[in-house]
Amino acid sequence: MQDDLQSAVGVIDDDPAVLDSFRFMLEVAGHRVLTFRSALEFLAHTSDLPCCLILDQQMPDLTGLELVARLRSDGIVLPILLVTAWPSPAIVTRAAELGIEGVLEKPPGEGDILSFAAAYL
Amino acid sequence: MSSEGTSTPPYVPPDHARFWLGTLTESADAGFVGADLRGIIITWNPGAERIFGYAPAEILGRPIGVLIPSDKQAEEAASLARIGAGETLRLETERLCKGGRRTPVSLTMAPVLNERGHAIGISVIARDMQRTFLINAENLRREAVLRSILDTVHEALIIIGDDGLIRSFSGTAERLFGYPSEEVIGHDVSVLVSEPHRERQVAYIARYLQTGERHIASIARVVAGQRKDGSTFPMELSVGEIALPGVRQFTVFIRDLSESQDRERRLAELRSELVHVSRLNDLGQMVSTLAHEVAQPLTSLANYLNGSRRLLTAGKAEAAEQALERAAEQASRATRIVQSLRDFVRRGETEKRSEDLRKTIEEASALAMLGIAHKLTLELRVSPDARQAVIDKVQIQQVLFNLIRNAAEAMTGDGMVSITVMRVGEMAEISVADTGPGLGEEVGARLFQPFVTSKPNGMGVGLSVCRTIVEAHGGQIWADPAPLQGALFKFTVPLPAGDSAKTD
Repeated sequence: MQDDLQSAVGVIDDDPAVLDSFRFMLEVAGHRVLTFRSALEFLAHTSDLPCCLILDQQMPDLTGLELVARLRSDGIVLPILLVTAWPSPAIVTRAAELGIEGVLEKPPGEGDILSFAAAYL
Repeated sequence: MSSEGTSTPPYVPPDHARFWLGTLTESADAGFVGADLRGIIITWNPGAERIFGYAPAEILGRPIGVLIPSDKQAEEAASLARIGAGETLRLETERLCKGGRRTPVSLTMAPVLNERGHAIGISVIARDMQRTFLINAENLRREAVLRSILDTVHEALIIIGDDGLIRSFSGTAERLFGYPSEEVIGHDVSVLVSEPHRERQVAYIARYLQTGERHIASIARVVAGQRKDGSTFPMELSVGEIALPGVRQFTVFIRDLSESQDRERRLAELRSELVHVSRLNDLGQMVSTLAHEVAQPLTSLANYLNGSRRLLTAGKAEAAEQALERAAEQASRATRIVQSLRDFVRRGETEKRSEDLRKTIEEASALAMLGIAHKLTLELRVSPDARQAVIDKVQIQQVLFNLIRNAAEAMTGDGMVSITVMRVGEMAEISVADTGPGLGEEVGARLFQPFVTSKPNGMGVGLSVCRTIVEAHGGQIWADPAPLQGALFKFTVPLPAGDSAKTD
């Protein structure tokens, strides 16, 4: 079980269709996928972390960047790819400050997603 | 003398002549007073009674001196000497009424001659000037009140004739425009209006004179004024008309919108009229929300399709089919968002009307120049075949406001903003050029993207909003390399339908 989780890609997005499509695309590419509907749902699972995280920025309750800030302050480090429809300079700057691996504009390219997942398996 | 040029006087019997004279004397408004050589009053008509208050029985036989105030005795003596020498005098003076009240009178005094040409007395025709004096005094009082009002109010007042020439120029106007009144009185009012507004200003008055309609009178208008030193400032005009028989003049009250006292309040008013700030923010917010909304189904769509392609390559058509169905659902979802956006824009279309481009630009430019401290010249040329366009006036004024404001803020010293409207195919092309430093290459390439700015305090939203507005009008917006220096922005808006068939 531990091994399974370690080799899984985590995806957090409040939109079920987006979440389902990421699961489908990544599974077809041969990845194990863990999906979460919100940042809070993910925080409840931090005892078993995925190998890397694809994270939506714009979500109710806790945004992607707010979640990363919380993880960092808790000392939790894992590779993160932030996806957002509106990559403003403020978002990009904040992402860099938090040490996020990459920021992608929605819709992200398949190659970018798969190479990210492959790099951190 | 030839008999053809004159008619023969009708014969009046000598005894009839006194009836004519008698009636004339009795019914005249003026006072007729006759005195003999000793100064004794021997005739006194009802007109004299009305003016001086004495009934004939009270005054006949008394010396005329009872009507002369003591300080006018010397004047009277001099008058009598000249009349005695055969002269007829006209003078304005004062006389005493019954009871000692003084009254202003206008007198015609003449010697009365007998058949041999010898003086036998004097005749005096007296006209009461009391009423005239009161009217004059009232006029003086009103003038003093008016002058004190004009010195007190912030508005400058000018009066122009129906020929467009300045007739009166208040003290506030002198301070506002920097001209002493003697330098502008008699000159055309257009010297006070900044270049792009001149033609229109004169056209207003001409139209008013032709139709008699108050096109400008009831509405305050904002235009750019020009001072003696050539600098411009936004001013608000309120025009009224003075219509008296034979006189047609216009009163123009001018409020200086750049004056700090009024500026903040007026700015707030104008801004709320044009909903500039709030609508800019709303639009920016709307664009970002929409981008997110559309990105969601597109993300899903791309993921499903990419996965499906991989499955099909591996020969797993059945597994792919289910994913493709979901992809189709996401495509529908994106379509619904685009449709609702289209509905939103269509609602906006009800606001679009055929508008006068010159007026639209003038109003936006006057607003954009508010608070610009340095000296700016504004130039506006509108091609006759592109006077009207079908636009949401407020939205296009936002675009103009942004472009002109950008231009004005880019220039730190004196400079010029040139706005040109010309027809290009079915569209009116509006270009805004400035003489500022121009656009950096890096900024130039990404100009209309949100959050790109070269301004120290800029948000970088303005031009992306401009693009959203212009594209919602079916037009385009772009930056051209400026021919000499500065920045050159152009955008297009549609001409009225059917206008394209017209040829000038």
